[in-house]
Amino acid sequence: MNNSQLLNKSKKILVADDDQAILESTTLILEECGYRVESTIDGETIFKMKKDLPDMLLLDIWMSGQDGREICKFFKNKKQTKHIPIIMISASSDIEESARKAGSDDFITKPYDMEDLIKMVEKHIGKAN
Amino acid sequence: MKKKTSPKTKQRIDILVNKDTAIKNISYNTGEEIYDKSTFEIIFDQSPLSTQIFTPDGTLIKVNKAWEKLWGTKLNDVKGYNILKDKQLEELKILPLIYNAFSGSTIELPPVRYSPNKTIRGVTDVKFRWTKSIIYPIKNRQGKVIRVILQHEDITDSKLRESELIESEERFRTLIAKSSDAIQLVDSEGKILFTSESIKNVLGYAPDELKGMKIAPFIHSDDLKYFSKKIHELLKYPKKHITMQYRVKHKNGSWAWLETSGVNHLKTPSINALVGNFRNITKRKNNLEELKYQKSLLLAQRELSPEGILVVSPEGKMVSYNKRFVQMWKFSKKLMANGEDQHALIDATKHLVNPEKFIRRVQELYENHQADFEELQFKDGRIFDRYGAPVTGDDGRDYGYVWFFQDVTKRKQLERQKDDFISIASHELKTPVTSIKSYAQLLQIKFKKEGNENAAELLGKMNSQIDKLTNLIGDLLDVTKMTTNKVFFKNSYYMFDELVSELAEEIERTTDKHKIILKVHTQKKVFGDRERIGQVLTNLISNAIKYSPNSNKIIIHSSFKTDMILVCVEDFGVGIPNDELNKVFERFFRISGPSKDTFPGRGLGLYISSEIIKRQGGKIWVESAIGKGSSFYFKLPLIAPEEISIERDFATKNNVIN
Repeated sequence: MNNSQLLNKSKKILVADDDQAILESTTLILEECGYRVESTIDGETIFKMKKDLPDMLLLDIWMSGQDGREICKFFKNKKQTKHIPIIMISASSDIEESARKAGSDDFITKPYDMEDLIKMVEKHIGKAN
Repeated sequence: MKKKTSPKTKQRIDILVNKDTAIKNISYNTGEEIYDKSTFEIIFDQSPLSTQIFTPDGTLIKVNKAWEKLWGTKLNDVKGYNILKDKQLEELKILPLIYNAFSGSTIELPPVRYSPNKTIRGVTDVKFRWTKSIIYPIKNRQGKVIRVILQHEDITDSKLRESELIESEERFRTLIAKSSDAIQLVDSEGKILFTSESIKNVLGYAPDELKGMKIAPFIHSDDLKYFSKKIHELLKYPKKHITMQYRVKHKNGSWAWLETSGVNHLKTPSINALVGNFRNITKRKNNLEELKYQKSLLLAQRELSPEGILVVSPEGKMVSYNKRFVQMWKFSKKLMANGEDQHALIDATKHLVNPEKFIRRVQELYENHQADFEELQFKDGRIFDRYGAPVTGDDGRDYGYVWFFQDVTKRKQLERQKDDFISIASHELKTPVTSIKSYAQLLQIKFKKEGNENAAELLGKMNSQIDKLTNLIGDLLDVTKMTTNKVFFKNSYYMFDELVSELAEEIERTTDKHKIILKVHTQKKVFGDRERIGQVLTNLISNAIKYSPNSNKIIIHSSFKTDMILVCVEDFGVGIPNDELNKVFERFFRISGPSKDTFPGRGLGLYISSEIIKRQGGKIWVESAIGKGSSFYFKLPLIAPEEISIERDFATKNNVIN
């Protein structure tokens, strides 16, 4: 199996954050562990997503113009998407409660330790392959 | 006392006393009448004059009824009394005179204060009387003294009256001399004729040194015109009392204020002068001047104050206030003229977001005579600080209540902007730190894979510095949250000892030198914010390590008492100076080491820790000895209160920044 074949089989994670650097570094971490990663800086696109759904959503609370918690609620209220685990990310630990209320499966504060993030992802969707 | 024994009586007594002779020569004297012994006895006994008869050697042999009455004693009581051996008379220095009588002369003794009881053994109730006496001898034909007779008159009452008179006279004289009033007689030309002694008290001069002098040169030049006007008035209206106040040169060179009541007695016979009665009122004048000055100062302060000021009398009237106060509350002229504090209170509430609370608090303060501070939120967005305190005199008298109102809207806005800025800035800092941390960790993995241990180690160091930066940002955010009262706690049950050992282990890994010794024995589940309490413990333990560079152990004690958990983090380091003990929990305070700046830090940790402990319903404190170490204690309730509301009666508009 070549690399691309491996990637096709591995789990896909959608990372949504309004900061380009976070998107890139998080993507690199997850790819390092073998996950396929898609990233978006625009909250709107997540609402419009219909096919090719990810296995997991890493969602920042503060999307430009969008409240991450609203996206979370939207996902969790739809039949097709409600099974998808969502980890919400915020710089403030005070947000955890409201994030969980919005349906988030887990919560991690910025800045996070790479190891902690990977552990959390694996907890919900297992290893990449 | 001019009652002298009449010659006749004297003769009678003579006869009576010289028993033998008298009886033998019964008609030797006049021949007119013949008295027998018993007749003389009766006369002797009934004589109103106290009479004693002595033998030539001084022994008392007979007394009459008047004597017994005067002294309230009997002859038997003083048996064997010898006048010539009387110590009392010796002390009174009249014994020599009495000796004269025994040698043959008739002597009038000066008044003495005497008590025969003194000579009676066992009598303690000594009754003294003033007596005036005559003592005279009875001689036989050969001129030899055979008896001596002493007669006295009780002059105690008149003596007392006399001494009372002297006393009252003296008192009067002293009064005049010490009086703060002085009297002066002046002729129509203004020349001093007489001045009373008390001038010394009033102006320091002796009366004699003023005699013949003119008044005018003593008067203050500024008051001269006024004074001469008053004198003209005096001259114009005889016998009319005219009061004046002016300054006069005191002997000591200072100016004394006099208040003089003058009367024109130039035409009054035997006075023929202008009579002035004056007193020194300098003190009173100065007090008045001082009062005027203080009043002007107060007025200026009140009006220039940027604060609104109101004083309410104990009767509930607005007795004093400044313009600023009226402006701040937008009170009408009518309301202020009416002056009822209760009306103003009701009018004030229409501006307030929480009027009930305001009214309630004010009434409480009035009732309990308390002082306090409150923040008032206005419907129009203004914020006032209200200070109130009862006004009490030195003597404890109630003068009502004083209120200060300070418009702090602008300051509050700035504070909020500052807090918001820090909050946003810290939050914004976290985003780049997150990606930096991620990149660093990625690189570390990459170098490790490539076998470049050196680079991987450097990146590990970089990572721990990023963690420090993260903590700093966290602290800044926490401080802002504390000051804006936006801390939220996630309370849950957790094993307290577990938290302590977990953290101790974690921190011990970061230090090579210090050993953390655990003496934790609570075995209790605590309901509170595990993470926040962990933050406090971490802070206390890292401080303990930081401030004990020359020791190698930290001891953590924990125990359980009733419904509280007590924790102590003990170090053996530099210690904290006594005067800084209370300050360590203040924001931005840093413990100074043996040499300044030895211990880098932000001075935020202990402030945040103390705020967390307070808000979790606990208490934090420190005990320390210089050079021996410090012990930081905190106690926590087993069940933390859901929310400790720190008195803020307005909700901040901005919610927590995510």
